[in-house]
Formats: sequence, structure tokens, C-alpha cells
Amino acid sequence: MSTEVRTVNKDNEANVQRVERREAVVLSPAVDILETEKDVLLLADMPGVNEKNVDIDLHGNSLTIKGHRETPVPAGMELIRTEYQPDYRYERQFTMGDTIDREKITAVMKDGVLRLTLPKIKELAPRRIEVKAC
Amino acid sequence: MFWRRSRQSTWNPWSDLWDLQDEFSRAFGASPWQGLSGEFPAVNVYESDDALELSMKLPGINPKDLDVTVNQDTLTLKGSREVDKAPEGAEYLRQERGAGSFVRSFALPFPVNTGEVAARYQDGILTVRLPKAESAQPRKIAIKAG
Repeated sequence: MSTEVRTVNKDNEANVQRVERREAVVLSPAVDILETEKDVLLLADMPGVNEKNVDIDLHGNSLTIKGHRETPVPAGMELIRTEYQPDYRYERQFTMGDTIDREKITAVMKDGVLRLTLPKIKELAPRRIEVKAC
Repeated sequence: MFWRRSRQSTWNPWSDLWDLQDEFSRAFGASPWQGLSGEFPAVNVYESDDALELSMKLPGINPKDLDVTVNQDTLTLKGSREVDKAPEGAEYLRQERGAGSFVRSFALPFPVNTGEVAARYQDGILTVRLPKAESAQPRKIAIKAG
């Protein structure tokens, strides 16, 4: 398992700028979703995104996670081999069930992984409706 | 495989397809981490006059589980990602994130200062900076007037 590395002739300046102007590609982050009795846990891989660049939007039953990178290209360096699009952002939308307590959703971002905890609304006590005779 | 800037050429018939690559690889069950070469992890390589920098997307890894070794002209990266411990009684509704171990090695195109190779893990991106040995750096030759 090895990759031979060689630097070959460099393209002209114009091409480099062309690449920098390119719009960020939108990727869908890989997620794990787990459910326990009390809550739903959502883990999303968003490498390069930190807590400042992540957005979580709630709109009705829809939950959208978004994230971007600040500086994809190291200063003063030139990209010479590309296996993944360097300028990217993440976006993915989910539909939540009615059992999620929207006010209590919490999020943590660490090592490029977003961890969302979505607590469930405490089960309402079963209610019995009495039928009265007229 | 050559390291060259083929994807940045003026006309590239593959560039649009390449943008969709991550999406498709997920849709068809391949690891979303894999690059076009099929090797894991996908790496982007940057170069300046005095150094080479490798950038890899490796989210959710404990830096202790990453091992970067430089041996003369070969750089070897070893690592593993553990499955996140699920809370008790948890049921997976969806599981797309991969786990396991990986090894990838790179033949370096020029001698590097092995003592000064630095690796940094931040926000799930591993960056390895390899300063070129002096003999590999561009040198300006002064021209003497005859």
C-alpha cells in the first residue's frame, strides 16, 4: 500500500487562481443516530469544522446541520495533489419526531464530530376519560 | 502515481463528477472518507519552496491512536478509530460513520528534514508538515559578470 510521489511541472498562475475562486462543494456528513429511552443522539462527521463554524437550525419538525471550514489552503502553499475537494461545506437535513423536546437540544463539537443530544418529552401520564351517563 | 495538478488544468472533463464523488460513494456504500485513489485516508498535498504539507480528513480520532513515521524517503501513517460507545440500551437507527484501523504510506519525492517533521491534529484534520532538506530547496545561482 504505497503511493509514489513526484513533483512534476507546475501549471501557470492563472490556473491556481481559478481553483481558489471555485465555490465550496456541499457534502452530506456521515451520521450515526442512536435512540435510548430518554433521548436521541446524533453524531455527524464534519472534519475541519469547529464550534464557531457550525450551525444548527430548527424549523418546525426539520433540523438542519451546517458547517464550513475557515482556511482550507495553508498560507503560501500550493495544492499539488488532490484526493478530496479542499473547499467544502457540510449540510444535511433531518426530520424530527414530535416526541423531541426542542427547547432542550444540546450540541457539542469536538475533533470534527458534531454530537447532538435531542431529549424526548417526558411521557405524559396516561389519562383516562370517563364516560358519563346522561 | 504522480503528484501533479491535473485537476487544476484549464479544462478538466472530470471536475464535476469529482465534486459529486463523496455523495456517490456514500450512496453506493463505499466509505465517505475514501479519496479518488481509493486509499484511505484521502490526502491533499500542498507544496512550498521549503516544505510539503499533507492534509487528511480524520474526524473523531484520539490523537494517541495516530502514528506518523518518517523513514528516509517514506512516510507511514497508521491509525484507528474506535466506535463511539453507545449508551446502555441504545438502538442504532442509522450507522454511517466508519470505524477500524488503517495504514497508508507515501514515497517522498525529495529528502526531508526528518527531525523537523511536525504533525498536528485539529478539528478532525491531520496535517503533517515535512520541511525539505536543504539540498531539495530551490537555490538561486548568482551570475557573475565575466
